[in-house]
Amino acid sequence: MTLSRRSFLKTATATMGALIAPGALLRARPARAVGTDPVLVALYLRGGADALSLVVPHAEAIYYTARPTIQVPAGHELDLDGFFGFHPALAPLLPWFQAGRLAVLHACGSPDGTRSHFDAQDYMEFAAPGDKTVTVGWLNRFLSSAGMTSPLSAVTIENAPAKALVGPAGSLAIPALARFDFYGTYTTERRNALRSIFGSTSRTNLGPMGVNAMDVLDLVGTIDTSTPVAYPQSKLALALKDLAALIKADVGVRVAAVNHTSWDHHAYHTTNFPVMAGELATSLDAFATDLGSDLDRTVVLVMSEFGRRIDENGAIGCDHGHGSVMMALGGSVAGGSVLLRNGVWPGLAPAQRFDGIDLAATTDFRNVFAELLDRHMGLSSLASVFPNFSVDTRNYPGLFA
Amino acid sequence: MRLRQLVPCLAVLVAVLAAPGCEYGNLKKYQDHVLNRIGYGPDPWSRTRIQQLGINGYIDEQLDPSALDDTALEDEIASLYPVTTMNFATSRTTFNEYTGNPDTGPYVPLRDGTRAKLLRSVKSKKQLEQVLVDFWFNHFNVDGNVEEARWGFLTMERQAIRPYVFGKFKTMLRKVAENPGMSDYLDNALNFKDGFVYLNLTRGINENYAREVLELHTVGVDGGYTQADIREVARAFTGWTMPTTFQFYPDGFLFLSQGHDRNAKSIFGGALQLAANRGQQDGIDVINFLAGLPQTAERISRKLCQRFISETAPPENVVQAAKQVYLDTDGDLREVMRTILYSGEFRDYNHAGSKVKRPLHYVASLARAVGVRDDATFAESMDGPLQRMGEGLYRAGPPTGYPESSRFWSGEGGYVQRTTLAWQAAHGEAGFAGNFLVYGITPTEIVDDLRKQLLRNGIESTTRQALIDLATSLPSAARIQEVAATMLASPDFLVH
Repeated sequence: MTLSRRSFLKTATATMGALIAPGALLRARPARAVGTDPVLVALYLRGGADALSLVVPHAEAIYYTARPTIQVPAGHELDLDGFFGFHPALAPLLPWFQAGRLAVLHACGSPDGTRSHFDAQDYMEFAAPGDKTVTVGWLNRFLSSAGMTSPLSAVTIENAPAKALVGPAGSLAIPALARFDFYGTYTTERRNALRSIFGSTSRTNLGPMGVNAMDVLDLVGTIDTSTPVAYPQSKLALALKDLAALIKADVGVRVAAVNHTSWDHHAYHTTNFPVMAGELATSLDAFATDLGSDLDRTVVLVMSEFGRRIDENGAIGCDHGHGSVMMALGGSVAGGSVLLRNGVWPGLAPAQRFDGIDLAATTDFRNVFAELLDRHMGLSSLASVFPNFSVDTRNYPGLFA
Repeated sequence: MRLRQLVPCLAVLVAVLAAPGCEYGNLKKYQDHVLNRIGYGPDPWSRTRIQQLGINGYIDEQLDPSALDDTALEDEIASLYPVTTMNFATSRTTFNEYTGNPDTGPYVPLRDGTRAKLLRSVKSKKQLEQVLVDFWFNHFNVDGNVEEARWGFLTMERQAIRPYVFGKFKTMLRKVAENPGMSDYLDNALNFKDGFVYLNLTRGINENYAREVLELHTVGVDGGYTQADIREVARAFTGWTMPTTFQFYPDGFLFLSQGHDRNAKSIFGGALQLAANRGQQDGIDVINFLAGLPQTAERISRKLCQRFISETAPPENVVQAAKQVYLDTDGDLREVMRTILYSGEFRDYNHAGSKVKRPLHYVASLARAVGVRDDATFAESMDGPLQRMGEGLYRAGPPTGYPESSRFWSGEGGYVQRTTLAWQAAHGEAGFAGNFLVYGITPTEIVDDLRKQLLRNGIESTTRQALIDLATSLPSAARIQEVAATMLASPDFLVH
């Protein structure tokens, strides 16, 4: 363990050594074509986003009887294919769907039936349903498999790395680019001292934090975060704005994680859900617009730990459920359709429900992850990314033509 | 001036001179380790106190802090931040309007609650009590940014948690269940028997609180319950709600018996049977039942061992001993804590520095190390940095609260913020005093004098050498503060 961490530090040091001077990497970058490396963004809706409100099965009569109060009233949805429709607050995403850039995957989720937020999130971020012994994130295992160990390969726009990114391959956690600067007097002398101190410390519990921070300070400080695109004023939008700046600057980011929190709508659903959905849609729309041609090499995967109960509860809300919805935007995703396992909607009738109460999860989320790593990120050997799961291309949901 | 002296520092000096013989160096290290673990790091008063009482005596006093006098601090807090002394109804009435005036709006409780907590963390002599109040608030977390929790989180801390951190767990659990911040945050205020019509709407069961009282507050996710148990627990808590008018309910709790599900309930495979028509007693019995289960005793003991001994390898023998004491004493948290703090494993110096300080701990330990020049300025200045480091006080969104894991607190963005705070602390900005007791003149002497004040329990030799090199490279007038700023951002000061 210590050895691999140290060798990582050495590699990171060697790779990043040239970056101490402002903008060194940008100037010193070899004559590789700029901006061709694929990027994967994991956008996590935390709290169990209500799949049946995000993407409404409006052709199912049971949807309306199960949800007398919190339904999207018939005709108010934005029809996608005659069976499903977006929540009206997702309107900004409709043009992306219609242009074939956005694909929707419905009735997906975990083979494990837990309704605990925290277990379900962990199982998904570690891509190991039901297995609490796995503690390395699926995207971190991808980084190791692909040999990407630069601290800038992976970034979480948050104060701590998302669990999907946690592990030996390392990753950067920056909550706000504008605040990532070294304050005070004698900054050069103090930074050199800290670099030397962190480079030789035997305290392993701090990880590569100090070395990474000193290495990338200048580089991050030179990134132009201005954009002509008007982002909404939300925490999610600010995070995506920073991420777009990082991707456009082409400083080596390959995988990134962004969180959108507060989707746990046990109550006040009709008040709060449209606000959350609107925040998601407007932020994502701005991000995709801002990326411009960089969207061709970037896929955003939107996911949540589970969907919610089919029947509404007694508090204008719904409790924790199972089957969920995912969305993939960008890259060469063959969008414009709602993808279902074998083209079959599991249905909302009592006999069709998981445990008799919830939407079934027929598409295993690991097949979505696998198809993205294979077809988008170009990783040929997926075995080490998915423990105890055999990847079979025939089970891919069909995100790519 | 090279010699920066404060009256409290003189007391340290006296204690140092009076210290006996050859064990001196080791003893100081142990003392600081204890002060780091059961408090927010050493300050002059606590170093003197632990020297006077010995480690056991200091721990005993912290476990029963009634004799320690925080009156001046509490008076100051009440005067600066009156919302922290108000009941729920008064707070809600006083700070319910979005007037545009930052001193009367609904964000005042969060703003002033944060400042009060910062001052207590730095200045209270009852350091273990502050650490435990933070631990238990986090265990039961509500988000002070949302809905009724805006006004409820402060009363939850003051009325439901602080009085019981050395009391019975079941009492704390019940007081939390009744708190309007909690009942709104986890929706129990909207949990009624199916079909109950209330305020013109047909109501029904809401599982949110029931699930989390099992998964997070008591037995844990592997504690042996089913989806059916969640339903039964939710039914037991139907009617535990908030009043619509607060005149007769200043604390914001109301049991609305008409909304209670009167049918019999059966929980944990019949281990708890509740007969029909028992009203509010249903919920009270569920609380006492869950609080008394061995799964709860073990989970709480393990969580406390992770906080106070080792987050990655809480020693199983101490967990089991604490669990047994919990079960033998009807969940007496003072005795559980005494078992943990008197264990050999707690004293094992191998655990020193194994945890990364959370942002509040880091900020408070800075202030305790260098002093505070201006309380109000300091408290006001730290709110933003705490949020940027990911630990905005009372602002954890999910019901799990903030994670204990060091990994979570080791992000690069948060670290860069810490370097800013270290520099401000060293330069006496943002309300920090920047007091250093340095007699030496050469770079080596300056580094060693600062180490004795700031890192008495150790510094790595490579760090020491890098700091000497730094001092050498700087003009002599800049050395003390720039070396201190760097030492306070070095690995040895980031951990506890």
